[in-house]
Amino acid sequence: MTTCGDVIVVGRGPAGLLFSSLVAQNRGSVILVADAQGSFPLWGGQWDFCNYTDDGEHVLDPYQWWQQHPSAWDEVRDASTWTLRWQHLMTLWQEIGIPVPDRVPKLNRWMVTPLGQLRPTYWVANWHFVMERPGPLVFVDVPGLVDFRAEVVARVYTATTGQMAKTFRLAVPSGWRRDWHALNWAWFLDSKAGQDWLGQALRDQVRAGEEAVVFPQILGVDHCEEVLEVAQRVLGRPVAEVPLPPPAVGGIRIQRRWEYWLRRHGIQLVSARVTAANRHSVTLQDGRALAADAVVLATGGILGGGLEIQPSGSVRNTVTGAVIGTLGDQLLGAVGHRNWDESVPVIGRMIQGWNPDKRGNGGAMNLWTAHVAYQAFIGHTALAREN
Amino acid sequence: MVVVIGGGCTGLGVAWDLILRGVPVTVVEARELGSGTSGRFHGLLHSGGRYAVTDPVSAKQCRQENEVLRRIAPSAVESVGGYFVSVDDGVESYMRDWIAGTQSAGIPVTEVSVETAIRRLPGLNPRVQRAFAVADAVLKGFELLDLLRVNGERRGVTILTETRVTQVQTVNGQVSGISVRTKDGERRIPCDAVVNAAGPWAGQVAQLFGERVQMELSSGLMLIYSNRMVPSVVNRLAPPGDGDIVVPHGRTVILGTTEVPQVDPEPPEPTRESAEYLQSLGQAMFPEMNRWRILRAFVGVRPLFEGNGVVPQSRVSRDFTVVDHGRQGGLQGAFSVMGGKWTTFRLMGERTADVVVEYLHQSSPSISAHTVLEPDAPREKHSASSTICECERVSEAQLLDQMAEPFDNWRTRTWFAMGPCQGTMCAHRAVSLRMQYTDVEGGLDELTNLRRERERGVRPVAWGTNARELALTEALSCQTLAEGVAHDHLR
Repeated sequence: MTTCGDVIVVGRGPAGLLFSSLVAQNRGSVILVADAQGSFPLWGGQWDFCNYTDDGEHVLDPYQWWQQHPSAWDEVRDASTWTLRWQHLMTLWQEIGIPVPDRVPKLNRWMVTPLGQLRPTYWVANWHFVMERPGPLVFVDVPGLVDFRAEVVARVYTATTGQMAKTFRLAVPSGWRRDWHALNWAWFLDSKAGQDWLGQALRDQVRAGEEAVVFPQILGVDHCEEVLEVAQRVLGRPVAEVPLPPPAVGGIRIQRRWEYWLRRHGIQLVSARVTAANRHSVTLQDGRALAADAVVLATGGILGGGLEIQPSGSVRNTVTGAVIGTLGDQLLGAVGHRNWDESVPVIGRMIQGWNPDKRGNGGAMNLWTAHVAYQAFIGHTALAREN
Repeated sequence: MVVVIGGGCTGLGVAWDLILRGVPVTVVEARELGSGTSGRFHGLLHSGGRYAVTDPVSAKQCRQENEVLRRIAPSAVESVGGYFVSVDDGVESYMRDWIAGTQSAGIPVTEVSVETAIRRLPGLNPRVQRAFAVADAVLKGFELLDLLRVNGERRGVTILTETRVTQVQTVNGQVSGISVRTKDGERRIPCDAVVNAAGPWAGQVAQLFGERVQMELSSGLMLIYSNRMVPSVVNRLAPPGDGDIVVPHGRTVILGTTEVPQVDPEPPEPTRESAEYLQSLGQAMFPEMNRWRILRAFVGVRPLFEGNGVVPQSRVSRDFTVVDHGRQGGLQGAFSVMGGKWTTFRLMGERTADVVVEYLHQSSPSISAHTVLEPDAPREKHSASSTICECERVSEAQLLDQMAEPFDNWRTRTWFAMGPCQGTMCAHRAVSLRMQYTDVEGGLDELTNLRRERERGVRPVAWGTNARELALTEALSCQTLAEGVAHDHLR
């Protein structure tokens, strides 16, 4: 058996990368094992804190909501702990090179969906369109992009908010094909030629006005700041994006930057499927075994593949094989652990009342569980060293 | 003029047979064509083998109609062939009866070696003892309904959908017309005769005639798997029971079925327990079936009828019955056709029309067994159009072609949202295309309804990969698209 590292993290979604970063920032060593791409490409990149009440009403002040509601941990009600953790994420992302403002938001803000409806959100990168209150907007129609029909988005937005919404249609560059989806556009706009073309195409659209211009999320992958800069300069007003269904460019941007940063900090990424795990070791599908001071599973819920539903309805941890319960009539996104009592710590998955689909608290869930696991991990390591 | 109540295969079959004899017909359907049992079956065009022992009349009808449908509707029949395989111990005496039964019904059967069966049917239980090839085929139900609609309308059949019959009018004990309710209000349609072809709703429609008919409804669960795992129909050679048919259908296979007595003509919701039970039975034929990627479950209601009162459910014949209510001392010019199977819909139409034309004092014979149902001219291919549904390759242009249709028809005519992702990635695209032509609120409601309709069939079989797919649907729908969230307070 290879003895290595301080910790083995299984899974490369947001919880896995955040936990790995916490260990790496404190000079621990991490082996990050994942067999697939993780959940980042599924999401536009927003981290939700708490969007909705039990009754589906939107939450304006998520700090207040958490203070007023009991949870698995008393600590969760403490606004200052939340603030510290969001501030940590802010400085971490800034170091990684994911652009975020210098202050964490106090309140939820509104984002626009690909159907022109509004939903609250809390934590987003600067490219992501959010607003404190609805105002007049311009939506950009991108030819061939069936996930975002600007005309419909504008109509729904106006019907929803009573605000004016205009649209304009982007031209197409040479070499464009009708089957280009968001990523094709984004890779094209990453190039110098793409940015030059965009500048020219937008120059024809410049009109008087101050409304923000909202694009579907296509404005580059690795060079999105440059693409946004071109658009903002030519249009002379704020430009931001609406995230689209997967493959979502925003999540891909974040994952690429974050994993690059982790590699630079000496984290080893192993591409393999984990077939068994206990507190101190994992077995890979090819027969290798890895050992460490600790193992943390960030393998996701049912969608991520960390949990599996059997025909009988029983829910099984796909790595440890433990049966953790039976499916009721809840949303599948809410299937998780009643308590944090598994043999191997699990992060980034539902625990007692967290419900990313219904409550909109998926970002908070990742943030909180990664920090709790990290505290437990350093406590455990300190104890081991004392002994 | 004759009014036919019910726009399933039976009603359209009656209308087709009548119009071919020169009798003017109006079909009145409360919902959409095929929205009852006709749109909810496993797709098997029976060779007759299934009923060779228990139901010789149906066996023979199936054998004959199988040949007729291949002739008159070749575009709606896929000649995949079928097998009866014996995987159980202790069925030797049934097998002897079955072979004798197929012979007396004239059903061609060829025994194949076990090795051949295993080679032709990948994944077949290696414990198979004997295997017999039969002429089972696949009936593409929605296509055949569409053929009946197109050909019927071409010859003058009037089809009224979303039209509910509220009353039957009489003069001197004879039918003189019906009243219908549509979304535009009530109106009256004069007619000389009314045919009740309402499938599981036949009992309710008969009440409009002042008649009471005893339906013996039963529901059957079916499971759809997302790949064509077997190339031919496979039947378990044992007394007909649950979970004993596997039918390849397009790029999927369907496992059928169960038989649960019920009173309500509306199909019950499929349940996880019954789906797990059905799959475990299917594993007797294909032991690895629990590893196949399941897609969804659906339930159909068999409109069976036992004129002589209550008999044990499993023994209700798949044969059909035509009742001339006038001859039984009831309303003159009122007829009901009950029971039967998709496979025998044309024969049901013919026999019903025989009785109706006699009542109308006409003598023209049925020619539906010899009249080919001609498909519409194939539509142009739209290569310069974006793809909306990637699973089923449905383009924007195809959806625009059918835009005038009600939402559910729009889906079944184009087949969007019917593939492995069940609309996860395309439902909002299709709806947003539609919203360019409809009002905003209506479009968002349709999206909610579509999600709900798809989930009903997916959730009972949410296990393995399919559960991940449903979790993705829920996450996209709740988070990325924030569907169903009210924002009135923002205005």
